[in-house]
Amino acid sequence: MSISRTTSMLSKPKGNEPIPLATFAYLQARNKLRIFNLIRNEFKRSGLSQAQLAARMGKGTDRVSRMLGAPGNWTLDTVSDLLFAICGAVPDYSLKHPLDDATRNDRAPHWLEQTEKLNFNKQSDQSAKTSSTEGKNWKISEPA
Amino acid sequence: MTYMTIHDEIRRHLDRDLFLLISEFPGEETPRTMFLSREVQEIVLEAATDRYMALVKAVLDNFVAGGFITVAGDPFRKPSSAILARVDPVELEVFSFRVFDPRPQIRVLGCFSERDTFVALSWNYRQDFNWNAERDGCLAEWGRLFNGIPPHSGANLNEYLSHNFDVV
Repeated sequence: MSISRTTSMLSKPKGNEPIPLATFAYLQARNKLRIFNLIRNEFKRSGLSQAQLAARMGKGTDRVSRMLGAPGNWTLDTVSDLLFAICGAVPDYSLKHPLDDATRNDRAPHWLEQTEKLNFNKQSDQSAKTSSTEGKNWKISEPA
Repeated sequence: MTYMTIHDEIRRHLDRDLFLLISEFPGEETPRTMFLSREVQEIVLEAATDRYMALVKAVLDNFVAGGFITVAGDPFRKPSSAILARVDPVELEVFSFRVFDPRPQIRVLGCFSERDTFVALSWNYRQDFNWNAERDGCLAEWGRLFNGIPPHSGANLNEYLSHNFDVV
């Protein structure tokens, strides 16, 4: 099975080429989700209750419950506070260059890998593209 | 008469009515699987140029990448922040991905075809949602695609997701 990436919305920055705002938005959302993943896993591992964590942080249980419910616009300070309060940890920063990684060959479930017609490039068939927001009458406006 | 499994049906529709959601990052592990209907696939296509849809795609990609998700099993007693929630009545096996950011919020409906594999079938803005109509539309699309094979059902949420989730 060969999988290529014609539909990727991400490409490495080049020269003076502006990076689409959609790319930044995607990466910001991904970043939030990954931090959320880290915090929630540490919280689960800790065995703490939300009330205990709230007490450690000097915040109300409702507020901590909301923070742990879904990814939010946490500041770096909030992430630092949460990690320390949960397990005495501090963030450890490093960089990855995921667009340079080799393509995994297990990107589809094994039962699909034998499927001859699997070629997800077709999902980018622009001829099939219609505006999904037609009739759904709201779109965010891009910041100037 | 030939017995068709859900895998056969997905293969049959692949690249026509169903599309495999692939991580943006070529080396990323994808312990979960998501198939998109043509309607939901349009979000993916627009994500490259539309900031709003890019945020939605990030949530769907997070599922595939095995990210942590909060799952509400009870449609009537769920925290507002649950990322995935069952839709009433739960016997119909419809789930809703709840995308809070951007606003207005979006809901993506679909069903599990097996553990850790979600088929996203329809979407709409939360403010425009008529739950009965959206649920029925989602099920009608399931029926059209899968020829009488019912959605995956489990006794509890551990039978839908194997790891990295909390029931809320």
